[in-house]
Amino acid sequence: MKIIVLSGSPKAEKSVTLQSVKYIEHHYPEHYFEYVHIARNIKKYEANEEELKLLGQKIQDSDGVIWAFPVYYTTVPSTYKRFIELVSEKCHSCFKNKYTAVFSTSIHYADNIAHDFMRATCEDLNMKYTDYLSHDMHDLLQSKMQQNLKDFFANFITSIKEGLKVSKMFAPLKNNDFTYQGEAVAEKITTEKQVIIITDALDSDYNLLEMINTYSSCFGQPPEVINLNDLDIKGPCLGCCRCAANNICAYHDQDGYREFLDYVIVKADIIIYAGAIRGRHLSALFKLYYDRSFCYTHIPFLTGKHLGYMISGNLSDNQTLRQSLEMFNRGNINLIGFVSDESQDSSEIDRQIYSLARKGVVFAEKNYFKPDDFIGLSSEKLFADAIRGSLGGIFTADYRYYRKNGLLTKVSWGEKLQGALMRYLMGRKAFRKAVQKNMINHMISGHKKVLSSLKGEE
Amino acid sequence: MPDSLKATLNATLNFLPLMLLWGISNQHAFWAALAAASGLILLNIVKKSFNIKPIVLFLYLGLSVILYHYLKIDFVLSQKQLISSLVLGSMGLISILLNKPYTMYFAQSSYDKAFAKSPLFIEVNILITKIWTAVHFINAVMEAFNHSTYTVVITNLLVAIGIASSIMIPSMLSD
Ligand SMILES: Cc1cc2nc3c(=O)[nH]c(=O)nc-3n(C[C@H](O)[C@H](O)[C@H](O)COP(=O)(O)O)c2cc1C
Repeated sequence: MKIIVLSGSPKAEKSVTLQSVKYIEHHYPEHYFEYVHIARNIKKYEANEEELKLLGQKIQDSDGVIWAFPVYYTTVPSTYKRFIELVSEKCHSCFKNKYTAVFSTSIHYADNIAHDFMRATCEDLNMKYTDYLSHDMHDLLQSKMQQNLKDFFANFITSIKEGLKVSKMFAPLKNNDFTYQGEAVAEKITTEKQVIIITDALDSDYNLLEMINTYSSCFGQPPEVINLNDLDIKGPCLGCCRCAANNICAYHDQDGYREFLDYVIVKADIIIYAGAIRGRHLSALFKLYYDRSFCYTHIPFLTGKHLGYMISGNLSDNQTLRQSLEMFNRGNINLIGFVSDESQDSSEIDRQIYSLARKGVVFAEKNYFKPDDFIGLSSEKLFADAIRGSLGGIFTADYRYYRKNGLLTKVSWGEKLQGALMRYLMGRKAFRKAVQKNMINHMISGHKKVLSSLKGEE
Repeated sequence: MPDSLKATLNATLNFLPLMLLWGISNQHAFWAALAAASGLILLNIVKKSFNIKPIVLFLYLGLSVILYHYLKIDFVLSQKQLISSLVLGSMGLISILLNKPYTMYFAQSSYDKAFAKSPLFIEVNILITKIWTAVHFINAVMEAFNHSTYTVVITNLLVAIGIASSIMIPSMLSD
């Protein structure tokens, strides 16, 4: 069979992900693999539609397509995202009815979201999605995972041969033709807090621009708007990890990105991201903004900020996007909320935008930070483990930051001792019985003390 | 006063007779320890609470005074560390076997009445008494085989562990 591998890593032949696909190729010599390095070719595809069509033809002539990419900021690298935008626009039918499987490497941070994103994309392209495999970047070194790779590919071939099918998981994307007419807000918010709007709006993004105007009109002193299109960004993240030791990117002072990011970090209390949905995510340019922020490696560089989102498009149809954006709220990075134009009711949208502005200011002024939920906590633990381990040997800047900020602490000795003590006592029948009998009361005994102390205060 | 602080004070106070017994190197040790044990008994009478440890110590110290001062048996003084450890270890063992751990008596006064009677409280005190019993028997064995600076250091270390667990275990489980 002829398999096209759409390789997403900017590192092309030196990609970690690609080594796993090469491993598969080696074990299945009866199949022919052709590799397309998307990052290397993206400029060509952007400039020349014919090149894209040629690729489309190759895909049409193949038996199956493997999307192979590194997870970058909860989805795919910006160039891969751009490629998806291009084919969705210009070569949609090339992918139709092609069997496909999705493979990624990562450190498993939000890899589920990346795979949801890819599955939804495959469904949008009318492909015959079969399965996915998400490997840790070092999995190829383990014999169990090598077998896992072989099985994954064997299943893919079986699906093609036997015409196996899976259900669609995502509702199709709906167009939103509504035109939002915002009205300047009369009740102005005054605050010392600094608000910065980061957007990728083009002139054609009428609704988005209008949403930004309405948001700005909420303030006596209109917030600063930074358009990513106006920045001097030389290129996408190269995945070279030169930033690992000192957070100095290969591009560092060669373009305007770092200066812009550091300006936002220093200046903003509230950051509002304003973008339009393109496919299953924000634009590739927005993705570029996120990917390049990897110069701060795994450091939560927006700590202490409140983030809000104004999205043009049907956000409620696109939970993967919401989840992806919510991943950035961990530690002391607070989510204010989302506003979209999908209600198709201008006055409703006006009110939602005002509420976003008001809430953001209240949060910032009161220093109100929501504690981590599952997403935040699991992210912290995943990063802390990785940084305490081998990752922290290379990402030394992360290690220093995590240690200094107490993010590497595991369960304290006191808690461990407490757990051991309770396990010992719970092994004793009389104790266990007494605890079980009073379990519900025990669970709120501390809470009750807090409440009764309030009564004492009255 | 918070429960845990009360428990700390209680645990330390209950150790006073032994501190005096082990700390004073001449024959006055018995009198001083006996006085402290009597004081504790009196305190319990005033508080209308029952505590077995000062009573056992009182009996042991009273007997030691008679044996040493009146019957001139030096052994009770020269081996006070070993004997007192055996007495306290045995008291712990018997109290555990009877399901009435002795530490619960002096801990009771620090906690709410209903809780102090609950199986939870008894179980926690069985654990603490087990720790103390082990501490005393280990000390006795060390004393029996060799009395040196090392044994003194280790003995004190074990006692410190005993005191720390009497304080920490209840506070860890307080919620
Ligand atoms: C810019 C950037 C963003 C990343 N984002 C994620 C992420 O969100 N989740 C994750 O698990 N790993 C993330 N990684 C780690 C890569 O996915 C991982 O190292 C991968 O194996 C690299 O594969 P490649 O060599 O094929 O590019 C990121 C790496 C970079 C450079």
